[in-house]
Amino acid sequence: MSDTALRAPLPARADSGLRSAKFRRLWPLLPTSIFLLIVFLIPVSQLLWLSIVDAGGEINLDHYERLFSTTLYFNVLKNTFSIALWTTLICIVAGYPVAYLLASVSPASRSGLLIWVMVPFWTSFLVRSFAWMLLLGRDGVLNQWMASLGVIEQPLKLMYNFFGVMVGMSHAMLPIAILTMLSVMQSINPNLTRAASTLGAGTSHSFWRIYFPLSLPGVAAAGLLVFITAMGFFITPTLLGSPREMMMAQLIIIQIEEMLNWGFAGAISVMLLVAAFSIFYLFDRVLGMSALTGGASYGKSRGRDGLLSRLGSDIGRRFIAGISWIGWGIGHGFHMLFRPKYDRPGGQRMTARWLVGLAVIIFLAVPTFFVIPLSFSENSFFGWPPRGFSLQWYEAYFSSAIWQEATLRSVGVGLSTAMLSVVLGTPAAFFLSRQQIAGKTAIIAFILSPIILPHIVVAVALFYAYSYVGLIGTNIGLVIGHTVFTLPYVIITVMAVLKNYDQRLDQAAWTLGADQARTFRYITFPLIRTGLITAFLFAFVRSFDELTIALFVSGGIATTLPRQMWSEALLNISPTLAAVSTLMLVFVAAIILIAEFVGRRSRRR
Amino acid sequence: MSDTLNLSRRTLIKGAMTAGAAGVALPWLWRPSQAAQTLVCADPGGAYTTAFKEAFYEPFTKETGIAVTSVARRGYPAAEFKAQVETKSYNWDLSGGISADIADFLKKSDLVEDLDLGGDDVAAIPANMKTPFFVGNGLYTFILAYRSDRMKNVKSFASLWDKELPGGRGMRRFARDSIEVALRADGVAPGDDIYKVLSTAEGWDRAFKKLDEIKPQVQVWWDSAPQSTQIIQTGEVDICPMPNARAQTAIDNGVPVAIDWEGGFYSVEGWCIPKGAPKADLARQFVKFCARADRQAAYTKELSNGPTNPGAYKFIDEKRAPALPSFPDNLAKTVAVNDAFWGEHKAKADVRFSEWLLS
Repeated sequence: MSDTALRAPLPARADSGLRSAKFRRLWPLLPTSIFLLIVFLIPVSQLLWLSIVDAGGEINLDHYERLFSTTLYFNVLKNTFSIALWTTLICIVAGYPVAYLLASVSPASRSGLLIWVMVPFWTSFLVRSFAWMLLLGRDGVLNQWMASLGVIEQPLKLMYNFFGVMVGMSHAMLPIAILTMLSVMQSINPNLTRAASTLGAGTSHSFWRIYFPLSLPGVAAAGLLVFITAMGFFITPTLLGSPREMMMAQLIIIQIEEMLNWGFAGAISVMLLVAAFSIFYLFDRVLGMSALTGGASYGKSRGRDGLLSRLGSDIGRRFIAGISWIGWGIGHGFHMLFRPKYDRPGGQRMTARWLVGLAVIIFLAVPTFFVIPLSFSENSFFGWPPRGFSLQWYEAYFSSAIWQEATLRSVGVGLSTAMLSVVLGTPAAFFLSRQQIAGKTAIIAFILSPIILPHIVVAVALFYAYSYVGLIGTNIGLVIGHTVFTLPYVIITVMAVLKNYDQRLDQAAWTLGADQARTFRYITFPLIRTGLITAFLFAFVRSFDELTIALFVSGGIATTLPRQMWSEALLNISPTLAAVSTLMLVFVAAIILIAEFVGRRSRRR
Repeated sequence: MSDTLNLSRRTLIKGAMTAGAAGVALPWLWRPSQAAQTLVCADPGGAYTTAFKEAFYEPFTKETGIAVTSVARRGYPAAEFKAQVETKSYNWDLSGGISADIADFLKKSDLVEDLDLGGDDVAAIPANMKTPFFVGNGLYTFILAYRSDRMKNVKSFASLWDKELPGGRGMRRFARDSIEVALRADGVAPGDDIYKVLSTAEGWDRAFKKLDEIKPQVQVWWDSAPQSTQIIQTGEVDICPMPNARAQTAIDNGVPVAIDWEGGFYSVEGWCIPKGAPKADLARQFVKFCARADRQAAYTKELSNGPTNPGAYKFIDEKRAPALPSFPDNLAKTVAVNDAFWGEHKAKADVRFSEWLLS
């Protein structure tokens, strides 16, 4: 916290006369920038350009006039933001205790719990939504259960409303929030908390005054990732919500697909982007991107800061300090009232952490408990309770070359995407978290923009771009397309981990004679490993669950797992989907457990 | 510093990264996925692929030696047509399962090839189910489905509005279908009268006023096809308009669901070839093949859409036939949707309907 001045290895005002020095400073940003320029900015700009020109190539703002000729687009924009905001709040509030629990248990328990936290990652979004329907429906499991207990007389309306959307959205996003926060918490030096205790701080005091502020970069990163991801979601709100939960993405898709009015689709997209950037800008001014990008000095170093921004960052600092004090106050009050004696580490406090953590983990795992039995059902539809016992849905999977090829391709594309994203994104994250340059917030906003737009915008744009270079229908085209969406996750996650990284460790290594490569290998890499693993995982999962790019760009015969599942679910949700999801869960759990077993043996040695 | 996640995950990630690197390096990444000597046909996927494979793709290969590969496309293929035609990068040579209204729309945007309408089989298809650029092979009808175990005395779409009838209502989140249903329930005769009413602003107000009445009663506004089957199957709603095949799936699954055909409205779906497709001639030959009575009969085994070639009923099981939209008794109770009218008014209707849903 106190070493902000030491964080920047090069002074903010570097000698501008030295071009090569400037280049050396900027190079880490180049791979990501060039990549996004070629496969995102240029193709998508061409598409968005259609929104301001008419058929004759003249500048024409009719599309924008149309946007404001009705209240529809503004109202849906409001909806989109409110859904994204509530999802973010729920994920942070519910996810923080889980991340905290995971950070404080033994590595073995952590592996076990992580399997459950990540469960939603491996069940396709379609399967998840339909599983929630079985649970929350009028005749659903929850209503039947409550009725049989006599808690309710009339079935409660648990879905096809805002509540249903929040359940589905937070279920989908919680793993992202938890893992992002966890990777930052694991980089917090536990000695700091211990030092606080030695100096006489109570547990709640040291948590709220030391640990919590240090974990804030994780909270900021998690909030940002969940918020922009939620903004682009539309399938969950459509399936679990009412028409009131309409999202901007749907309106854009209708214009692109049903109306072929790409100009107007471009106008709606621009509206969405402008609104998202404004929110982003406000977030930066008030809470400070510095929560993420290092150094409070960031705000101060710029002379041209206006009153608004100084006021903003002042409010932000006070806000964070305020939360800490309030949290401490509540904790302290609680302490005074109920536990007059000194805390014993691992005592009731740990029990409370387990209770909250497990409640959230059960929420994450619950739909799976319905998906697994359904995969053995004799019914040919998704209905509860499952009837009979049958292996026919597994047989359908294992006897079909299409399903297996699709699985293999998705795994291959997912791993390649994750690899490419980490290689491209990590240097950019280093740059963004350590260098002081003007317009940093704008760069981050640009990197995040692929997630804000619905996938179909990028998919159509890429199709045109790929047609020049013959990448349509290739796996490499698919990997490149997916990387556009996964880079933001990698960059934000790694940035959050780097925020707590003490650069004096690097300097110490240099002093002792290590060169840059060795320093990275032996000092930096081990310290940011958690962040890299999380980033890799996010990138893999995003790619593994991606449908639209796969449909457009890999257009031809080669199919991917989400595409095959989506096609299977076109008219009827068959238990084959449950079987595929179950297989995925077993497979992933096996990998984690084997890795844990191998890891434990190598530790013992 | 605390240990990061732990060793095990490093092992895991090392393996994964190695595999990833190998993946990037492998030549399969560069291999285009389109084979040279086949006809590639897009269809909506799922049950369509299964049905088309058995009725059209495989028999065509058997007869001509030309392999047909199927690929799934998006529900609304217009954007795919446009992108392929404009870039001349063809992922597929033709597409099936395209609604006539979308075909008209594609033609307006100059994105489709003309077809070969010669031969007895195509001639047998009624004139309102084909155009120079589109040959229909199936009918699907928007009908009223209800739970026969929970609802009695269901008469027509008006029953949805009937407050005497208990039970949850479902509606489709789609302007055209909701407006058509509302006007029928308000006493307008199906067919031309609907469009006469909608030729005036008062007519549109009338439809939305009728929709106002039912709005508080609607439990679910379904959006995607499988959702409509799911909600009637699980009892989320008891009465709900939906495509006949979606209700039929629930019936075939053993759920007590009944179909009321009265006042239903049908659309035709069929084949289109993207403009400039290199194998257009081959595709035309395939479309002609699919107009055969016996082929159309075979396709109804998996999908309860109705064949357009009336001769197909000679080959269809007597028990199966009454479930199909083009079965004479059913056809007599239903009318065609006016695609031209809706093509013209879709944009306006969509915005107004969405505004209404949000209000």
